[in-house]
Amino acid sequence: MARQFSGTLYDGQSAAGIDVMVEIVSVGLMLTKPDGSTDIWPYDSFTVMSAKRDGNRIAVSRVGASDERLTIAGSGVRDALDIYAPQHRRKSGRDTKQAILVSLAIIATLAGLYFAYPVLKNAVVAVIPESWAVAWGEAVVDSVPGTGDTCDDPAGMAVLQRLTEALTVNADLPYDARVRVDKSRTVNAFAAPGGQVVLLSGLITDAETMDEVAGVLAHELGHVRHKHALKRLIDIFGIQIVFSGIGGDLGTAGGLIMVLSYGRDDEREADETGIEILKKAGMPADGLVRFFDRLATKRAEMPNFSDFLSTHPSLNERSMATRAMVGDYVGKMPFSEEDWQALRWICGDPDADNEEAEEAEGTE
Amino acid sequence: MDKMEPYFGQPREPVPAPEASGPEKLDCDADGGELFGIHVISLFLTIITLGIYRFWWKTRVRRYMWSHFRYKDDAFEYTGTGLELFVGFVIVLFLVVLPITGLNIAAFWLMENGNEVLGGLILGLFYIIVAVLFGAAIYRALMYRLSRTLWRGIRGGLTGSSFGYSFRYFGYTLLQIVTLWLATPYVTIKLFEYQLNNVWLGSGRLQFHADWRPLFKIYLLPGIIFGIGFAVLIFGYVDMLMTQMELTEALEADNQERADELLQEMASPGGLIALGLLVLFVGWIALFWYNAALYRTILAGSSFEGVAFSGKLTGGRFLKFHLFNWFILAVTGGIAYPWVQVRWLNLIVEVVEIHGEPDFTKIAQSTEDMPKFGEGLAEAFL
Ligand SMILES: [Zn+2]
Repeated sequence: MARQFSGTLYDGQSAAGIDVMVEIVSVGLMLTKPDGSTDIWPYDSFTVMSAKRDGNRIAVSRVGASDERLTIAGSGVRDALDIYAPQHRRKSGRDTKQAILVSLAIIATLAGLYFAYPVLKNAVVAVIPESWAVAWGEAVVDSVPGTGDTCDDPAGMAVLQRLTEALTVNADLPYDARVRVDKSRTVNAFAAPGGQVVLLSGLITDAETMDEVAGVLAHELGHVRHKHALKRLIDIFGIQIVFSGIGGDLGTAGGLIMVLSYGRDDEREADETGIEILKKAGMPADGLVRFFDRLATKRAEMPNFSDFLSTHPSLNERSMATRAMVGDYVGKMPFSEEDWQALRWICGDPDADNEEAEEAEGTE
Repeated sequence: MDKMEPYFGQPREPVPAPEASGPEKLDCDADGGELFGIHVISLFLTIITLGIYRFWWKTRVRRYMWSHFRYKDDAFEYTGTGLELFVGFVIVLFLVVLPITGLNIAAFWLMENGNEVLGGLILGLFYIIVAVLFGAAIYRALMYRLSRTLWRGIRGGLTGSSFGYSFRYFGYTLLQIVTLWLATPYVTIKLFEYQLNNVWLGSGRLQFHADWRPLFKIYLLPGIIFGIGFAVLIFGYVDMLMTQMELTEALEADNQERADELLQEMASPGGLIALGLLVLFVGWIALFWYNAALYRTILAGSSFEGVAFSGKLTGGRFLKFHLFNWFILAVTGGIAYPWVQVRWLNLIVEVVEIHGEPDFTKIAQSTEDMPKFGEGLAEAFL
């Protein structure tokens, strides 16, 4: 292997170089200039800045403040440096190896996060004070279209209050439930962070019996029991942190309303807990099942932001699952027909709404 | 001494007859796969350092690209460091970003607390400061990069003042608005004139002069198409707004019939908006021919110590280049980005033609002061 090569020395003062002979010796590069004078560049005084892919030309930079540069050319010069100057050995495929290691590390980290995340999330949810959850919940509720026109008919409010108390007294909720009815034609209900439950009046008008309203409310209280909304809020927050960390803007996509789009598992859990809450209150538990059945037939009209009407798992699936949970349990509704009518009138005349709706649809 | 004979006494670089083998080219042997390795490692380090590593990330990528880019077989060298970029960022954060953010907050606080006039004035001041800093950010980033770019050990540099540039940038932006962007060729050439005439390699200075008028002729086609597109778009948008207002009224008056009618009518402004967007898309395709001509003009108008340049980029070539970039980025979900970066370097190699050669003995080391830290403003604004 040749140890002698021709080179060009750039002194850092001018872009015109001088020809030198470069010899790879034990202590470094020995430069011999045209006038015969020699100079040694110790191995730790320079870095290999660039090498051509054929390995026949390298550029060497002095370390530190010096602008001296040296180009060494000749067949096999890069290989020669590998052999005689271990400090400057090519780290062949170093970046590729590192990339593989790093990829494995990323996968391991993600897997670790995937398993640790629910535990971390529950820990965080447990320490968030109720007052924060309530404040966030208000922001979430405000972001839902169709809310804000809260109904306050005294007789209806009294029934709603009694229904809420009957359901929550044994429900083991982390917060006081704050249930309200907002005037809207949409058939929907949702549970926001901090125990806030909003029933849209369309749901009450649409229900055929009070059992159904109680069933929906119990389902929403199931979300409250498990703090689902708060957990979703943390999911969204986490996604935003990850994406803003990488430098993307994806985190800002989607708004607070995403908090209300629960996943499959949350819905099942809320259904299960809802049935349990109804049973503990001694109320009939098949109202929820009937509500699912009825909705399944007209699901196509439903808006897609909803919690209660979320399409996954399918309404048929949920109907079957809840039916199984109810079993042969029979409860009794502690409310009279007058109570039911009072609740139906909480936002004023419910049939006025219906007529309008029918007119709009032009059918039924 | 005998064995050294072959190394001396022969011409250092055989001087070719001028243009004997056509114009000279740059050379690049960067590899997308190698660059990909750098990106993956840096991405990981950036995530685990909560973003801090990105300054080192940029540095590693530049160092790689520069060192694989050659003129006369000698590679360019990038000597910037991640630390310089990081410190530059921190300085700008505390000296610029936080104070002007405070200004912004103060303006809104004043306006909400009844002092609309003072609040409005401060808000106006805020926007002017941001607009002026924007041009300065572009210029200072270039200053930093050129001062960290070496060739044969000779430092590059950018003189002139970043605020000189930013006031021009600000003024020209106003001109753009007043002329509905028809001044684009003029503005672009003028800004390049300021910038490029301040580019140095050591004691050698780049010179750039070009006429914007031929470019303006090429710009007219995309310019007119854009004009039509925006007009259609605005017309459709206004139509849409008015129909919507009527619809709201109809709904409030419970006039279902009228509302249904209006909903049907919504299709026509919707179609106009779609048409406007389509026209803008066509204009944007036509813009590739303008941009190719712009780059050719910039190269042809530049000279460096007796060296002339030319470029042979065509609009079709430029469009194909971009289409392929987007295609591979879309297909790979962005993973092909390093290969796109290498494609850009190769496009420069393909396009840039160099005529003649400077007297290298006359290019001495730069005596300019170098900026100590890097690109903080650009980090903040770009
Ligand atoms: Zn639910």
